[in-house]
Amino acid sequence: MTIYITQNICRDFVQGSQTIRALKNVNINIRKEKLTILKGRSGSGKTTLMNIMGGLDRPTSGTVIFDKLDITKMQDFERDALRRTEVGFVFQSVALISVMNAYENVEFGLRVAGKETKNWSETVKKSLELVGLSKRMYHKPHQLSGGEQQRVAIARAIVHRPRIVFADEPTAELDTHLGLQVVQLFKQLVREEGITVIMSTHDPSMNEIADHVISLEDGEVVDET
Amino acid sequence: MFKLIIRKMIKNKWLVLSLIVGCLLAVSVVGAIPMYSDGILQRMLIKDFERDQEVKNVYPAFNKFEGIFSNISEADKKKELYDWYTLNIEGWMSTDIPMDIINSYKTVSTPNRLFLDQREWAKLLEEIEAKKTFKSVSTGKANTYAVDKLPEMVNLLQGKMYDTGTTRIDNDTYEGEVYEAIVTSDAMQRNRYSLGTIYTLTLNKDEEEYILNYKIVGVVEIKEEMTPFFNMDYYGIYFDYDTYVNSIINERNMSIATCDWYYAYDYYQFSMKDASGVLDGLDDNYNWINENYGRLKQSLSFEATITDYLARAEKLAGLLLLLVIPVILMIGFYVSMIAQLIMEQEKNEIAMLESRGASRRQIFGIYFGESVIIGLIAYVLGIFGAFYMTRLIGASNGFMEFVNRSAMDVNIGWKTLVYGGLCAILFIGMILIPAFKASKFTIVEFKQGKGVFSRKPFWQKFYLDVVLLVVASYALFNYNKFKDAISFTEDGQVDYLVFFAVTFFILGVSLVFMRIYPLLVDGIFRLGRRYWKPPMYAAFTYVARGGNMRQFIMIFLILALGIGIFNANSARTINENTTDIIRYEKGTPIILNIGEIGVGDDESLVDVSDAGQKSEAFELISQFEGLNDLTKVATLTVDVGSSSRKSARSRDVKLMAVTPEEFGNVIWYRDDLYDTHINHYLNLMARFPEGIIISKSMAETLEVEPGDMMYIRIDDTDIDAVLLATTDYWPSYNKYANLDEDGTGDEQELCVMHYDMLRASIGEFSSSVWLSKKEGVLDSELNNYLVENEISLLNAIYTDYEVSEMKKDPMLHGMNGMLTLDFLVTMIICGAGFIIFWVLSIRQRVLQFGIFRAMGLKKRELVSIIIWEQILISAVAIIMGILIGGITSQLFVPLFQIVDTSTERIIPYITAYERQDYIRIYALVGSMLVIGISAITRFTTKIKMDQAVKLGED
Repeated sequence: MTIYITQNICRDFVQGSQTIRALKNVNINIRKEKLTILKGRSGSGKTTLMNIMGGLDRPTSGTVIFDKLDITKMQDFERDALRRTEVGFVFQSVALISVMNAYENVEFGLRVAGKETKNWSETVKKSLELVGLSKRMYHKPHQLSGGEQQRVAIARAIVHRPRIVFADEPTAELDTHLGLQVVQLFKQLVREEGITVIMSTHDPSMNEIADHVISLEDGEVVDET
Repeated sequence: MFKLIIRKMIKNKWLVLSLIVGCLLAVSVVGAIPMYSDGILQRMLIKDFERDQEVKNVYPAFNKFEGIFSNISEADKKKELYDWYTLNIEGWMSTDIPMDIINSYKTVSTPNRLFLDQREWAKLLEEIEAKKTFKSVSTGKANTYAVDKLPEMVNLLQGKMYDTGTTRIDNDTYEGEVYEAIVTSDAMQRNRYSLGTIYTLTLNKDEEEYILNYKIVGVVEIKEEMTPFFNMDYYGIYFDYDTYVNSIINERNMSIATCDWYYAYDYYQFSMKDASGVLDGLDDNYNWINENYGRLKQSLSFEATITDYLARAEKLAGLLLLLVIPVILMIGFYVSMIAQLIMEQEKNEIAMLESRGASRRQIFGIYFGESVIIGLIAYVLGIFGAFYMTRLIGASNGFMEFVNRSAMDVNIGWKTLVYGGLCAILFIGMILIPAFKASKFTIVEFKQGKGVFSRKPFWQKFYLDVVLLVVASYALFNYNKFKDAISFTEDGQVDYLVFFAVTFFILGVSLVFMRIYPLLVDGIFRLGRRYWKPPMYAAFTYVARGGNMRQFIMIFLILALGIGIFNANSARTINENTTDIIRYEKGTPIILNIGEIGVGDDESLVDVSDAGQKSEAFELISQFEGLNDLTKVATLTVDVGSSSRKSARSRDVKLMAVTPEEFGNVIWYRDDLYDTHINHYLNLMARFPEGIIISKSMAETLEVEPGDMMYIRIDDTDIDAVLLATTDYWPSYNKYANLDEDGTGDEQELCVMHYDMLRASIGEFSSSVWLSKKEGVLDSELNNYLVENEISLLNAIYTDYEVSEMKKDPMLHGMNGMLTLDFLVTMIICGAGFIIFWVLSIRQRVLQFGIFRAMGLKKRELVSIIIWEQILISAVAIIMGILIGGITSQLFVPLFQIVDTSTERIIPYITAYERQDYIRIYALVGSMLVIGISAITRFTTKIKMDQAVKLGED
């Protein structure tokens, strides 16, 4: 089953008088309920590709089909809704809200998604449990370690039961051990919760855990396994 | 390092600029204080000088040295001293006073002389021979003088000016040398001199050498323009100075009687900053005189005035400094806020520097360098700023009112430089506080920064807020407790220390509020947790837990508005009440006393007009076009008693006879002074013309009540009257008018009766005309009308003029000017701080907002977050500011009544609020919010999510 199909995606950035082509005719299929890794050096276009698939950015040309919907043709509000309900993001820089504790950060994510208010607290707690943080959920971000922070971010990204989670270099600021833990967590989400995870990394050691690896170089797909 | 600092400053140019503006304003305001107080006092002093000169026709700024030679017996010694003193006075003592000399002269005289016609001299000698007595001879006495600049100071009326040296006369009546002399026409008349005649002066018949023959060659009078400077002995004989000194004093050895040296200084050139120089110069002179025989008396005509003005300048500067404290506090908050924001912006750079091995001390050094540069720039520009601020204060005429007044003479004196410098140093310190705090943390702690934020601010840790509030409340309590005890103090000024207590109070209340508010917001947040939409969820947590920066802007806004409102209210109150007192004391806009001044039988000045002329003049005045109404009011001093108890009688009661129907149209009144509207009193009197209204205190003393019969005794006539009503106040009635300076003596009582009743009872009496003008009619129009119609007046009182004169009082004027300046600066800082804070606080959260958007938050919701934050932070702070300002005004403004002893509490104080001030504040705050929110909203909606999110990557 394919959840994403991209057709000839190009993305140009204008910087001063120069135009930089970040993506060049990218055609990929993302399999549903699998862990896909986007691999490549920094500047290879991983983040741009993920932003476009996640509905944060629009391609200069080409189309992105998400579950039979062409998201490149969507209005802003439709894409907002898509992100709210179907997608979760985990960023390289953890980007938790500093004034909220772990529980509140996750709760806020749930609230933004606009999901049912029934069993709210349970949903939040369950999500935190899933990432193994139920014991530290009332801690503020600065009281947590980097790995813990990243796990809160993941809990926030999945709390509203999205179908896809985008994780942009989630392990970049973690050591190998913690990085592996995070990836294992993603694997677990794919397996147990049926979520599709698309993750970018430049760490080759993650490859074997992934179901699907797409390598990018200078905005082009160079390898797919 | 210098390059690094400059690069850093350029990178943050907007914030650095805001810092400079803040410091600059502070330096300017503080620097303006001595500039203004010197400037205004200088203006006043010059005016005083001018008035003095006008009234007395004596030049008021002179220095006079007088030789005290009377108890020196030897003429030689006198001569010696005279030369020695002349040398020094002319050499340096006169120029020791640092002012321009516009006129100078010296006078010397010898003792009283007998004089007589020279032709009679021979006869006299014979007579003396015969009778052996001197006294029987009819002679006159005259003083002889020499004034060095006399020829320049007089006009010749007859004859010629004297020549130097002696003249040889050789005719049938006289043979020998004579001196030429001039006299005034008074002397000519009294001593029956005739021009050309030779006279002989002698001190003592026996001593030939003291005989002086002189010829009157001219008659003079002092030039009109010299009269303020120079005075002649109208019966004196004046000789050429050099001849007098060389020949008469030196050669002929005549003894000096008096000698003086006179110097007039140009008081228009006087500057307060020279005042201490003048006193120093004077001291120098005194010391020299003491060391040099002490036979010289120096009198600087304005020594006391200068000392007095110096004291006043100090007092005024003290007041202004007191008034400026809240503003400095405000700017202090502003500056530390921005300094902290700069630190925030540069967190990464600091980390980078530290990672490259810069020590914390070096990093602190960089910030130190930066703040010194900022301080210096602000200082230099601030001194110029002070110049303009001073002009602004000078142009104020009441609170937030300006007039096109002639520019004040403003000088940048050393005091301005010092005050401004201290202020700049203070602010360099304030800028450094965040850097100093930051230098105490490791870079890891610092980068976590958010942790630093949520720490308790120092004032919460030490309960400074509570302390401030307690101190202020204690002050308030104390003032209120002594409410009745304070009545008269020697200096009779408003105790401006109240402003100090107020600053404490406002700061205390706002800090206490800031202690509670986050808890309150958090409480509300928790209570409604289930129901908050995401924007409110985000806004609530941000406000409740945001920490220092959020508190900064809130305290900042509360302070600005609270102090602004209090200042506005207190300025209004003090102005209104001071004005009210004048208007009440005068009773009506204009009082004219018709009559013509002439010389009476006993040579005193009296009114020489008759009743016919007066009523004619009254008729003319009543035809003045701009007139609203006019009435005659008679004021007499009478005895008033109770008819039932003859012994109960008050003496020296102020009787006012009024025509009620007209009186009501011309008077000034304030409703709160009367139990019922004053027109009710007047209506009552109109209905019962035989009735009287008396002061309440007199009614109590006499134990009378409305309805009782009373009598008024004018000279020997008793007028029966019925008591209609009692009152504490009546236009122009001042209960304390008769009290001595120290507040002792009897209170003045009042009795008001109908004008017609008085006329019917005693016939002729003098009265003044009270009148009110139509709206917009100027006093000068009336004045012109009076002049055109040749209506002569004994005197005229224009209340508006008195009010405008009162407004020029330096303390009042300074207070108004300073409060106006405070208000403007507060509002500027408030607006700037608001916008800077919000723009930066949003910019810092670009990443966060990007994430919100990535999470699917709609743009609308993002704007909603901002609006909620604005409501919870800005709007609440603004409401609190206005509330606290109002409460503070309610509590503290009435204190001005207690501490304002200058008015002797003639009428009660009322707290004045001017809607205009509030409208100004609301308008400013409103536009601030609108500009702020729209700028922020624009900024927020333009955030590109993908870029915002990416920002987090580097």
